[in-house]
Amino acid sequence: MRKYLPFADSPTIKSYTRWERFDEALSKEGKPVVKGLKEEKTKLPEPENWFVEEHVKRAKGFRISSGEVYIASREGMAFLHVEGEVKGKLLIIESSEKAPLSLTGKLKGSGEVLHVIKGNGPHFSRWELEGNLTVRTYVEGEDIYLRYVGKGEIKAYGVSKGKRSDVHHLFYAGNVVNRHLLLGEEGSFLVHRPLVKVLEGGEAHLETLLVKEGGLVVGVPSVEVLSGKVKSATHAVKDLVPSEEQLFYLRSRGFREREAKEHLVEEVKRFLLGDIYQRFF
Amino acid sequence: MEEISERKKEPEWMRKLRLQALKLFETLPDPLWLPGIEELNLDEMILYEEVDARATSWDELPEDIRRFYEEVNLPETEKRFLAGLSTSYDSETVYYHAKEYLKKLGVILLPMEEAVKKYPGLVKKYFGRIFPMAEHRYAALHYALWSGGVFVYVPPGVKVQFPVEAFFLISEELLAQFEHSLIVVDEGAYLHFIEGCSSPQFRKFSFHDGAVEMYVHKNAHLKFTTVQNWGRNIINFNNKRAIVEEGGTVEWVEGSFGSKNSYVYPSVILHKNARSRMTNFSVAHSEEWKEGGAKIFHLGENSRSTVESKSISVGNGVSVFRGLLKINKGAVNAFSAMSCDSLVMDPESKAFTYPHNQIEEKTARVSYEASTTFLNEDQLFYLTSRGLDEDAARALIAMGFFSDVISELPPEYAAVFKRVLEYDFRGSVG
Repeated sequence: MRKYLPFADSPTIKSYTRWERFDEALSKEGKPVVKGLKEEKTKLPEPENWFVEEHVKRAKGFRISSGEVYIASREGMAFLHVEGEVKGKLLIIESSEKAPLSLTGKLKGSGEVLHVIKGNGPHFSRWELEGNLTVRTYVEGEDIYLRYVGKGEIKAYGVSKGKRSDVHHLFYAGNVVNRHLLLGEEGSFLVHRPLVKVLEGGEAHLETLLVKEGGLVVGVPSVEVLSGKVKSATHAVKDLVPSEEQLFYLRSRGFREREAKEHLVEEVKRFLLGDIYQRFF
Repeated sequence: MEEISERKKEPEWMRKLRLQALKLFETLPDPLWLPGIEELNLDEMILYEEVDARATSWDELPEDIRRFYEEVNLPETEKRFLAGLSTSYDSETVYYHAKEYLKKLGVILLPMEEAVKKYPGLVKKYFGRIFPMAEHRYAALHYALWSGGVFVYVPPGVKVQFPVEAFFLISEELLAQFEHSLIVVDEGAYLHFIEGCSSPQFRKFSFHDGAVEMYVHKNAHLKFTTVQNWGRNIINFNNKRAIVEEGGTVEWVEGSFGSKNSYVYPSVILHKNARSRMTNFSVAHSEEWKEGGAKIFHLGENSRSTVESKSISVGNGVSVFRGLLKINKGAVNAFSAMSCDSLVMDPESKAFTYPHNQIEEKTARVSYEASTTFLNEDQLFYLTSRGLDEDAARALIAMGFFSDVISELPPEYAAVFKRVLEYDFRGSVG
């Protein structure tokens, strides 16, 4: 039986990015995606209000709801499963300095999730989202694969920076807004690959913003409209550069062109990252 | 394959190329990104149908073949509008005619197999080098079994003021057509090339796996217009690519109707100061799966590209847009704008868009925007309250959606476009 991979692309495209990894990820719903690593069974202990894990060597699972969670893997492999019903605001920081980290998580409820991933992977992070959630993500490092699968009303904002990261979103809308900024530097390879399946009555708006100071930036904001009875669906890829009018305004107030551009980038970062920006920048 | 090569009395290099392609077809995996090709059983298909006719005037053509072309008004269009015409019937070119005007300009218009023998040096320089056979399995199959198609060469500095057309027809079910066209516009020249495709409605399917290679030399200009109007039961692969050298321009209008599964990704490679403008339109009707899109590779500095894609999904049809924009490092100040609009006309129909933007050059400017809109009930109510039946109202809305695309077409083809659109929505013309 021939295996049809709907999200793969024609061969010309395939040769440039790793579509097959995306297909593979989709075909293994609910499992951490780790190539070449063995997955250990995870156990979920009794619910706790919040949990901090600073140094993880073995498989563990835990529940979270609000507060701050630190997940770090400094040495050895780590497989983790995290679950929780978000109440209010939740900050998750994932870090893997060289050691491989594979993380799966499930978050429900309504509130705001601030998600920071830093590290020099391989780092696989896969989260299921459900409910009315706003997720703000900051990704910086090398060899990071982050994937959100969401249902419901989800707003996902994010910024990617660093050497290599691949950020996927797979949403079944509901009502979805997804905006992601890729900050390309010399030697970087950043990918943003959202896919929204717009269901009856749903609405979806996707946007990939690009800042190119070198490297390769890839934006693939894909939409599947599955019914003629959806509210609206749009997607876009844009350079983040000031418009002529904005530039004129800022230059007439003493900004140089370079400064005007930097100013715009900072403002967009501030908007996308919200509290992450306040706290870490 | 050997038999085709022998019958066409091809030179050795072409026979070797076919063999190489066949080997590739046997080794390459079936593309996993193509739905709906499961029933494509090549063993039960006629892969080459010899047609014993080759004419340079309509009177010389057998009546049963001529009647097909008369039904689509081709002899009249040629008389009034075209500088040259070549038509393929199943696996062979059956008619070609270059008007005196074209001959005086020194333009070569020949069936592909004759060009291979008559201008081997010229053909060998381009054949298979623009759209490589290793692109995917069915591209390899095309190169192994190609037959029919046209070769057009426009010498340097020559501006051809009237269009040249190639028309392809599949007349039988369970038949595969693999025509190959090669268009070369030399330095500073201009050509408008039109490609038309058609087939009757079949009970079983047929397979079209054609290719068009285009080479636009320095400061040359090629306008390429294609309207594919296949019957519902065609599986349609299109392997099309243009290479545009420094300062060259390609304007590409690509339209697709009919065919139950269609895979058309026109692609352009742009060198320094080259320009491309691409307009796509398609209708996915009655459970058709219509894949379209555009692939633009910016290699040179100051290259510019625009892509405008419009599709309608109706009656459980699925429209898919796959776009690739690749801007290489060194393509300084490259600019690309892509837009993709889909109209979904009923709850059962679907529209998928998979754009792919890969930018390696920091001075490049890109923008991609897409939106999906839905049939507005108010519009429908307004039109039906004025006496139109619902199908006519839908056809009118579709016409409005495509209006800016229609304006890109030559008047004769715009009229055909409108008739086909009306047929698609109403099931009858007029």
